[in-house]
Amino acid sequence: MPVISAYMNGTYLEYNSAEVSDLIVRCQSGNRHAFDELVSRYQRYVFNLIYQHLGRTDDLEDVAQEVFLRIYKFIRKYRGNASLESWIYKIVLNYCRTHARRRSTWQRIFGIQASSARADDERSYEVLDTLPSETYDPAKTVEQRRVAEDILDAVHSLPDIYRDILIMREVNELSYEEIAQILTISIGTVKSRISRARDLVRAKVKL
Amino acid sequence: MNRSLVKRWLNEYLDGEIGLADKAELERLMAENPQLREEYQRLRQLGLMLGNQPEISVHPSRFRARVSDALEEAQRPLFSPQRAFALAMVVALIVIGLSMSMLVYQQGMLGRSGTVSEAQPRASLAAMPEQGHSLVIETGVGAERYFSRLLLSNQLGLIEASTIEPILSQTRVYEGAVCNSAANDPLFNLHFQRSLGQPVSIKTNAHVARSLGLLAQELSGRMPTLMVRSGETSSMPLEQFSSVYGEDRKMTVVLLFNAQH
Repeated sequence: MPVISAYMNGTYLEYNSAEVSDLIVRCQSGNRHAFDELVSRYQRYVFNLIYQHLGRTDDLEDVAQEVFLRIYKFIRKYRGNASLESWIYKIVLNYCRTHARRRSTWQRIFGIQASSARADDERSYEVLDTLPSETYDPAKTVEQRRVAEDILDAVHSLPDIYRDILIMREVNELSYEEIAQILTISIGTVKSRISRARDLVRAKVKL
Repeated sequence: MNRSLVKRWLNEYLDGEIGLADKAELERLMAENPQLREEYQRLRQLGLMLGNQPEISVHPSRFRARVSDALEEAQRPLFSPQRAFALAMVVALIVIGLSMSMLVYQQGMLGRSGTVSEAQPRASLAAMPEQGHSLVIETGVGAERYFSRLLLSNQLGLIEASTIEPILSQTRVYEGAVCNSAANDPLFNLHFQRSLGQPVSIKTNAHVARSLGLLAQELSGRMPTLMVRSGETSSMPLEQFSSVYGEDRKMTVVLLFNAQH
């Protein structure tokens, strides 16, 4: 279906705001300014997703750049069957899996981590710790942080299919339907995998 | 109540995805069962902990500029002047490399023309009629070098005249040979007028055969391959050769040579 007629029929509006639909159409027509706008709009979202799924990594910025290059390459294939955010999430997830595999291969073969870490002042991003609540108790906060880190480590040690789905649900609070769309699985499978993922993490951290 | 069903309800309840009727039933069960309430609280705590992730803040324009540069780079035409120049250089290097290889190969082939290559000696031997009690010596060196050294050794008294005599009388290898003094060669290698690549056959005895074999061993640095009959090698040390066969045992010696070097 031609891009303009899809927009006129309101296809993109089913899951996106009018503003985002317009942005998609302009990007699909090859408008570079529109794509710059898309990068500005979704860069924080993409960085956070990568950080959540890959964990602390020196090449966060490289991965994010590659994700946006893929978005640019494939934006014409977006058909409006899900929100643009879900579509981007799918690209992030696929690329994170590819990247993790490559990273693991490099480490296995050469025993080194392929990285292009930049100096702090050259970075485009900053990691902000979540702020303590008003009822700030230093001792409690330290303990909570330790538990949170243990849980996160446990999540990152899970197989892909459980780790990704748990982050989608618990961190990004996606609905079962959104998760099913992104992972292209049934809602029943989403339910069983989330339940299994929670069991696995609890077993690891003895919660 | 089915445990797996309750577990499923708990997960759906936690995720806000439970149906109204199931929700009412689960809440009733939790009100009655403190263990179930505790289970729910643990699952909730897991979600709260996981949700408490650091946030990433991205510089408003720096990353966008980076992506823009990367896109420019990716969209640059495949045959830009710089890339075309680099490609031309690579092609030129390949062509030069191939030409040099061809030249070296051709020179190697020309250097071997008119002589017998390393693979050839045994092949040329096959064409010779087999004679009784023959010894074939694969000298492992070129004919010019072998015969030059044979003559020099004889002149210096290192090899007795009886060793070189059959060669002088039975072959014409030294006809027209001159000392290559212009080459400033301390070993006085001879310059032969004609190619010496062919096997040389001499009728002699076991004593001379031993001496000829020892010279080959000295020049090549290894024991020459000996064939008592065509195709059959012997590992017998040369020193024992004449004692086993007898000093005066008549035999035909065939000398095989490598390409000249």
